[in-house]
Parts: sequence; C-alpha cells; structure tokens
Amino acid sequence: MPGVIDSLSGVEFATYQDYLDHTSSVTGFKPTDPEHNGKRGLLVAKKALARTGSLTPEKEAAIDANLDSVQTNQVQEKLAARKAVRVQERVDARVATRIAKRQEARQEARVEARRAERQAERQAERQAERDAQKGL
Amino acid sequence: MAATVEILEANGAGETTTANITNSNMGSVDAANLDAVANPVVPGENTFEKWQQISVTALGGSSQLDNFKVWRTGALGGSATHVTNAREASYGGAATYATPVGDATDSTVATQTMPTSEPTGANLGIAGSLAGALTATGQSDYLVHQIQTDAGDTAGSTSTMNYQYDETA
Repeated sequence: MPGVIDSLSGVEFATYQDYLDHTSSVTGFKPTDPEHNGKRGLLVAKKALARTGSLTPEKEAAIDANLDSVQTNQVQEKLAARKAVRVQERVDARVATRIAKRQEARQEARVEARRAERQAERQAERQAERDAQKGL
Repeated sequence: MAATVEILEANGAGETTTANITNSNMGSVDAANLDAVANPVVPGENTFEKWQQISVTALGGSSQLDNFKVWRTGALGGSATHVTNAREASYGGAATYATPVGDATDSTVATQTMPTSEPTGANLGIAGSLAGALTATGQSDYLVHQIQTDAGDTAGSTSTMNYQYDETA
C-alpha cells in the first residue's frame, strides 16, 4: 500500500504499518488501540461479537473497561473538537472559493469595460478622421 | 478486548490511501472525506467511484472477522442510482485497484444495485471470496461504488452507508 494519510490528523505516512504504529495527535491512542475509534467503534464491536454469540461476560467487561478509558481520556470530546475544526475548514474553503470567483468576475468585467472603452475611443477617432477628410 | 476496525479509501492514479475515513461523501472529485456541497455532481453525470476497504487493525483477542456486508439506507435524490461491485451471488472476486472514474464515465466495476437493506449474507469478499475470513490483521476486498444521476435530478441528498462484520472470540 503506497502513501497513507491519517484522516483524523492529516498526517502522511510512508506505509500503512507506519500509520498503525503511530500515536494519534487527535485521540492520544494508536489506530490499533480499541479506544482510538471512540465510543461508536466499541459499540460496533459489541454488536459484532453478539451476532456470533461471542459476547461473553469477560469480553463485555473488557469492552466496558475500554469505554471507561474513552471517557477518562476524553476521546469523544477530542474527536468532536477535530470534527468542528474540519467543518470550519470546509466553510472557510467555500468562502475563499466564493471570494476568488467574485474577484475573478469583477476583474473580467473591468477588462471587458476597458476593452469597450478603447473600442469606443478608436471608433470616435476614426469618425473624427473621416469628418476631417470630408471637411478637406 | 475486541477487534479494532476502520474504513480505508484509495484515491488517485497513485492509489493514495486515506485511513479511518470519517465519511463517504460522494461528489465530482476523486477525494476522501470530500465536501459534497463544494463539489456537487452535475445532473446527468456520475460521482467519482469510491474504492474502499474494511480494515482490521487489531484482532483484540478475537479469532476471526467475517461475513462482511455493505448497504445504503435512505433515498437518493430524483431517479439517481447507486451501483456497486458488492453482491451476494456470483461475486466477481477481488477488484484490482484502478484510478476512480466519474463525471461522464460510468463505472465498469460497480455494476450491481447497492442494497438498501441488510443483505442476508456477505456481499463483500475477503481475498476474493464471500466465504473468506480475516484471522489476522488485514483488509477486505475493495468495495467499489458510484452514484449515477439523471439530467432531471436535483443536487443534495443524504443517505447512510452501512458497513458490517461479524466477530468471533
């Protein structure tokens, strides 16, 4: 697998293994840690185990301990904060695109107006020349 | 503990992978976690294909993951169709990555209708087989999907992609 980008932090890794080995600056956990995907990931795992009859009391207790760790380490809050930043980045990008398009349209309008002005000037000059020739 | 799972998405000619994607937004660019508002599909054209995998990053003491299923819930706008390579019968094997296509180009890999409710059995394979299982860290086959619109469709619909697996202790 060629270059890998961490969706949460945007950090790029040379290999997927490098990505798996790193500790996320967003969650504080490695992608291989059960806490890394927050509460939702652990609840998904519970259901996946339950479907095969593998959700033993021991397994459930272990996942509940991971859920406690998610809470203690404020993983949900960190994921929510990152999401808020991402949403703001999108809004900023949309605004920047709109401003750039507007500026481009204004510039085009200015160029077009200048072109029309020059054409009118040339026509007036030509007309003046014709009038002068008639006068001769 | 339990297994740790995430969704990967590959993009571009160089198959750049984005790990642990946070959404499956589809639009007029080939990018992971794209902004669908800023990159809407022109009615009559297609979204860029999504090439995604379910990745098991740790088994967490479990012995295997299998029975991978994908489906969409929620309606698409207008008469758009959502196509995929996922299927419960006559599975075509593991798709080999190719640069995602979109706009005027229909996917040649995603040719089946995306299920709109949970399939009865697995519809995404492991190592080319629907009966496959991951007994160590690894990935599913590529899930390829694309939304194909009609000229009369209006932009902007929201639906949910579901990715499911079974885990055995």
